[in-house]
Amino acid sequence: MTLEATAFGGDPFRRTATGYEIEVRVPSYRSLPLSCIEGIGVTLAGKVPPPDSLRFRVNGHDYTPAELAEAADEQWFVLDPLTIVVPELPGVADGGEIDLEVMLEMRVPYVIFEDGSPMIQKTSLKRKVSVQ
Amino acid sequence: MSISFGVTLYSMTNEWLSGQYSLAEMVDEVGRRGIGPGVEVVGYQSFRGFPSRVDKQELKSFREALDRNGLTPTCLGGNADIALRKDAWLDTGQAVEYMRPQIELAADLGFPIVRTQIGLAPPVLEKLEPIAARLGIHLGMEVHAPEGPNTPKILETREAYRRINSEWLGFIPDFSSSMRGVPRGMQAKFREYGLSQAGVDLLVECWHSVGEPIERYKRFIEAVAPLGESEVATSRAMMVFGMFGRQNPEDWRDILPQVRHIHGKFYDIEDDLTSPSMDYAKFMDIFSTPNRTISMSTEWEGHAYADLEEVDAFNYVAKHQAMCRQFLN
Repeated sequence: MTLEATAFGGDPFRRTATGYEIEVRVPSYRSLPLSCIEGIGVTLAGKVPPPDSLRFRVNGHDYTPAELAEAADEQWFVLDPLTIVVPELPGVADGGEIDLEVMLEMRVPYVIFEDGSPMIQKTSLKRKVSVQ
Repeated sequence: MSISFGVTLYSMTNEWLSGQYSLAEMVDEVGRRGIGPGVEVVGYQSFRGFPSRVDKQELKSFREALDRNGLTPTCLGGNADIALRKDAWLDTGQAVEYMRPQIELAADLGFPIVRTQIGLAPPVLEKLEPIAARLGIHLGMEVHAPEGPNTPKILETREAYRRINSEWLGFIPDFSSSMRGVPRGMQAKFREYGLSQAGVDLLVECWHSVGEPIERYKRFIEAVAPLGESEVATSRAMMVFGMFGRQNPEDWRDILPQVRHIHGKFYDIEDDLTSPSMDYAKFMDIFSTPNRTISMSTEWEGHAYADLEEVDAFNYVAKHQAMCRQFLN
């Protein structure tokens, strides 16, 4: 799907002094409230950072996973990146190329099924990135 | 009666997401390509901070772009985000307050119609009607696949409309409800997902079979099981049954008196100006019968499977309008 192509831009990954930052765009044709983020997961070189260690930078603020769920008044605008801030991961060596995977799970807020349950869209983004 | 033509900027979702255009530049391109005069936008797609925190200069630029191109705002696509919070859906009061600023912004920008969605239950519609009436905004509930004019939820809305009895409440038919085939582009996408040609043939066959979307989807899953297809591919198949509706186009006549605006949804269009997956001759026949003007936004949704490099959306929109004019003459 084309949304997978735009969710990961040209150069989504960078190494920082404290770990890594990954930029993603909302996997949708429209902006979605931050409270509609059901989950964002990261796998780097096969290693999964603890979910609570991640921070999500959007609209000039760093959110914890719990804070995202409360941010119903904040929008992830369709043209703006959200930066996933990942702490240093043991065993991910600098200088090489590794597999990056980001799993985005979004609740589509205007669709409710017959049984009252919401529509959840899962998007898996994969890219080989250089750690340097 | 006439249909006045136009486009929803949603048709150019690929171009918008690529960042090639500012909003004003996209409106300028609509003007340049002659695919107005009507312009519709999805609020949450086109305006950062929609609806209450949009930059005033951005709104001004948008209006100026419409004016300098001789374009007319037809409809503001609102969203009824009932599942906004995980712990509890919006109640009646919260849903009203969620829609209020969207309707108010539509009035500020000169849109005569706001698209509403099926998530707005009758108690919400009762409370929204006086807001709409005061602002002179018509609320058109979109009738979109898998719904149709006579599905239970829309029948419930029709009953509420009958009870409320207001000119400010109506419907926006979306032709995704009443299709005649699965677009070839979507079939090709499933081949990319890893479904075999035999699997795609079964998908199409089951889509054409009798029953509700969920029944036909289950029929597909059962039929395709012996083929050992990829789970990634088969798990996405429900989308086909939900997104491409099988309602009878004749049913649109049942709600025609309450229609002021149409979503001319389409996916594929041939060089001879026909759409294999949708019977546009029938649609134009039905919607040209009322003795008044109805606005139509051409809505190309093939960006669900086609990338930016594959299709010039502006060009596709122009072809769609040419097809419709052909059937109207």
